[in-house]
Amino acid sequence: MRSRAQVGIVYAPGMATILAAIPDAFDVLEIEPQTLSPALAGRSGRAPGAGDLAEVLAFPHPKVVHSVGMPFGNRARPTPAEVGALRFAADAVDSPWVSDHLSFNGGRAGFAGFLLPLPQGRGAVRHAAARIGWLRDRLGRDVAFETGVNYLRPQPGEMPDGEFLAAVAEAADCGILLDLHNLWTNERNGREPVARVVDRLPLDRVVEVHLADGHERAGYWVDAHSGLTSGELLDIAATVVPRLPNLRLITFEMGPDYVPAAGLGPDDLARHLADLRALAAAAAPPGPAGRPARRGRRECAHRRGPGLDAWRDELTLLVNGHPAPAAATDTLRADPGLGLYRELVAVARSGALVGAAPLTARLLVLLGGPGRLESVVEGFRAHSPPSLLPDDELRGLDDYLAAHPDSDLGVAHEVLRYERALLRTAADGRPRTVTFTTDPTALLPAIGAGRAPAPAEDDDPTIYELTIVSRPVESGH
Amino acid sequence: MEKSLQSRPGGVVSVTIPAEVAFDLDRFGQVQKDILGKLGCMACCSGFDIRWDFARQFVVDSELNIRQPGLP
Repeated sequence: MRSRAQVGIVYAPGMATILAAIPDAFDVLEIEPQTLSPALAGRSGRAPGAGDLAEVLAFPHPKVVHSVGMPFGNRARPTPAEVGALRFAADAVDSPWVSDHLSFNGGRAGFAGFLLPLPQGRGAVRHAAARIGWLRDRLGRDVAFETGVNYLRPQPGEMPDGEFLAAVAEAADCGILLDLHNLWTNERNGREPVARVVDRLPLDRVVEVHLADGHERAGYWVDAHSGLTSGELLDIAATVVPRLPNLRLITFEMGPDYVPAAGLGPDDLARHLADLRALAAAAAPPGPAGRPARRGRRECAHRRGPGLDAWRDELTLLVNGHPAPAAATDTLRADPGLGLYRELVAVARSGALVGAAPLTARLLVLLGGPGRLESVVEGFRAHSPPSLLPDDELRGLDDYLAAHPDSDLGVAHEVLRYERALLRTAADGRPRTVTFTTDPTALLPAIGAGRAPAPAEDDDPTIYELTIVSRPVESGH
Repeated sequence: MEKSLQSRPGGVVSVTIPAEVAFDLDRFGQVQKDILGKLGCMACCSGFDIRWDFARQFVVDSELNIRQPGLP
């Protein structure tokens, strides 16, 4: 990667076709390895191999690794398998640094279903800084944290946003991934203005900038990665980028599902990336070291914030609709942002489910309209806590349907088990057999074409066994 | 569709399909194949997952054309 700032775009499953059409429009591909396969999340029981990265390695561009699975605010350290998988990805693409989020994604009781903000106090600073250093030692690479979204109001006694971010960066002696859309989202929702946050940051630590767009939801601006960077945010970026002497990369984030939904095509993205190249050209001249400055850790002298464990546990419960724990502060209990978080957690879980099992979702709509799909998914969510991987969510839905037998859901349950088997076989190469009470070679194309399946004949005892086979996935070990 | 159908005693029909071929069963084509990657963790996003809206808005018109926002 050259020393001057370049322009990148986030790779996500579903973006390959679009990006392949505009290979000259971007310099760098940012990859989120945990989104690419369970093995790259360190959660498949096998070591990742080059095959897990094949779709991104097909692009000749330099790549940078952005982790989404081990935010620095988590209580538990990542497992050896998780760190090993991240190291594998970083080494495979020789990532100049590795980033993850200055957030947490669960409490002692389990996964929260969403990235959540830390309590901004000395305890969180020390914890995050230690975790960043720990990961840096294990990866053997520079590490940066991403500045996150916070839909909550400022909590009593907490450090201001910019002060908190600066304290973590100094205590960890690390780089910063300055997500300007996240900061702008926070500003629009009533937190600290972007300009004030930026003024407090050690700007020579910023190695990367994220840009994106969002939309309004329930009175909030949400970080949805749903469109091209707005002119207003580009204007803000134009005032910030020239102040960043070690900026190496400006990365545009957009969810692949939103591209056609926004009426955009590859040419629109290419034009937008050209605008970002002009922005990158305005970056400050490279610093003397030509790389993120490391100048030793500085302890945070700020007062203590809320207890980390209690905060993580309380917020995890609250955003999943559980009653407020006794220890939760009145400010947190009354925070209107909790309602938004609850909706976003529910939608993220539902989206993961229908994304991984589209035929099941479509069949439920064909059987009983959108309300049928909603009632089944809502029942499942109430029955089963969130899981990090979609396959675990599918297993939860499988268990839920098994525990709630309903005559008209029998075929949906069969299709769900087929989709689970299909995805797992495609991922690990092992053959799997599922059973149907109606001919799957007629049923599945019918659902795909949007036709409700014909009711099974009650007196037809035929059982169809469908075995899915695949080529083995290449393993690194 | 490549498949083999084999009758067994007792009214059991066995069907074997390669996973790669199975992804063409539902006419999603590339979009369905891309779902493979969605076995991984959620992406870096703090907003609204539009796939849930897409799934609920799925409709079939009188000509049996699928109209689902976001899908080509």
